[in-house]
Amino acid sequence: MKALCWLGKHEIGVKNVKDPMIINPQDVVVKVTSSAICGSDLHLYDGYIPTMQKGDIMGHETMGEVVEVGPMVKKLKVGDKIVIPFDIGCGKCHHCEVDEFSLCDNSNPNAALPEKLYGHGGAGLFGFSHMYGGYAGGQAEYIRVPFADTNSLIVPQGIPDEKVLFLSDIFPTGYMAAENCNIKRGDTVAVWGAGPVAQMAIRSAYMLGAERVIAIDHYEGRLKMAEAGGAHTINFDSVDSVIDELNFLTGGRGPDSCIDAVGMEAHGHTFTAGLDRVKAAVGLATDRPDALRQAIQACKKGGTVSIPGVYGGFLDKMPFGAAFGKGLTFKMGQTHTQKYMKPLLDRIVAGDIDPSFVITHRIRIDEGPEAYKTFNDQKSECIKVVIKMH
Amino acid sequence: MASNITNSPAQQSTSKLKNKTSAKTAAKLHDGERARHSVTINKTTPQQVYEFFRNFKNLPLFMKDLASVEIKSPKLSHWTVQLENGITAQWDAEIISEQLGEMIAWQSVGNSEVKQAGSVWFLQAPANLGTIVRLSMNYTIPGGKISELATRLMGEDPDSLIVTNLRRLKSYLETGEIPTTKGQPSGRDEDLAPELKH
Repeated sequence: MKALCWLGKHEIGVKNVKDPMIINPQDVVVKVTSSAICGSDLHLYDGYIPTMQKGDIMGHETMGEVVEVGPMVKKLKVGDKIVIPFDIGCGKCHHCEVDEFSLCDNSNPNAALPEKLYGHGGAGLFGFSHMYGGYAGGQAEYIRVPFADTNSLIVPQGIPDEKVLFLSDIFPTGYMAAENCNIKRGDTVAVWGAGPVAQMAIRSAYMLGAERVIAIDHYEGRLKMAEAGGAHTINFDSVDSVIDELNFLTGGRGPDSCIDAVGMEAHGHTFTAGLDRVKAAVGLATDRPDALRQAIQACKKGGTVSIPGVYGGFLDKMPFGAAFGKGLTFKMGQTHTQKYMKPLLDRIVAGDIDPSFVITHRIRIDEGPEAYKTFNDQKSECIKVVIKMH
Repeated sequence: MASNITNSPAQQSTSKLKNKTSAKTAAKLHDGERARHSVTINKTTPQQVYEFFRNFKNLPLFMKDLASVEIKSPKLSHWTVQLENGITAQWDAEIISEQLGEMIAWQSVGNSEVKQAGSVWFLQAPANLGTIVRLSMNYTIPGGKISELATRLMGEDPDSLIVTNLRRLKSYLETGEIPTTKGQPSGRDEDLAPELKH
């Protein structure tokens, strides 16, 4: 089969590889119909995530048709159309039992690696480095799904892929980011970044009762899409200080909640952002957390900072004194996708939202390497790339 | 067994163990490497996990590289390890102390390249979180010669082998399988089918 493989920093290639097969009894094999490129794939593309190996198959936003079923699979059968969550839960450990699927105890066969770095290891993820299990991803014609009864949502036949594909990651991720804000009616939520996750977070925040959402970015195309979702927007290139602007907009109080939907590769123009770039380039720091610093600085006293943006290592110059001094609450982590897939599918079927609005590019797998470059270099116009596989 | 385990049920077992172990073996093991770790297994009782573990024939289901365990008598069993590179090693292990439903302690007997002694405890976890399994093991390489076999048996160190085996025990009992990516496709040359290589 054809697969998009990571070959090194800024190098993705189409490779002819063996088809996946059933390895463990609760596996299924899925013929991929649609797969998307995620903003977090760019962290791999840019070489920011350690433990990638040349030849790893990319992709964690995947859906398709079940073509082979392991002997211990109970729910799924051949022919089912499923969306596959990006995080892998075993469905049986304590964390899966309490809906913390991305903290699964069992699904990461390489858990010893994050244990050394983080103290404890999280779930395995599709196509997201060996520290996260080294599972082959979904930017391929076929994918093996372990613990398939847990890691699947059967979608109604006939529903277009584009409407439900983003249940695999960005819609639940944006929704959980908004849910983590603990929104009360009348609240103002500020969102750093206007990428795909932020777009979902903006709309989810309104669904959960926010009165106003403010999106902060510098790509006009993305800010325009945020506006279409009802957000007030701030282009950080055209204001002196994002924090002053937010204070002005909120009567000096600051936003009730702040979402960092940027993560480890922020593109700020502040002094610390410049310092981050230099430090990351020479290996003195792993992450560039300027969006997070601003979110902490801007957030109202007693407010909540919600972090769906991905971080991997050690953060420098974090204003922890500000966080403490203002009594902030932090909520973060990989999304427990399985918990949100069904209720959010119901929202889509009910017509509350059609997440396909975020798609700007539709490609064939052979165009994958070029699409990564476009997605990385032209962030204003290229917001979401979907690969049509079958 | 090492005498420096403190503040744990394992310590109780050590003292019992020592009385039953010959002074010579104890001295040898004392110089060996000790590692101990614990894991919590959801939805199980200590009795269930004890019974699964005590039937040593089950151990190859989860223990890395352990090919078979043959039961020779109620106390004595014969263990065969086969490494990925084909090297095999065998030894006899003897149960030297046991508390029904709670603890098993064993040691290898006879001439084996790697001597090991271990104890495992099965305890009720708080808040209905299942069973806590605590495993302590000592490895001694007689003569101090680190052969490839010894190194491979222990992985990087005895510590990582114990962590791996406890994790695999937990995965097996909780989910019925041991998660792996071995055998999945990749774009690496060694994983490509011959007809796909350029």
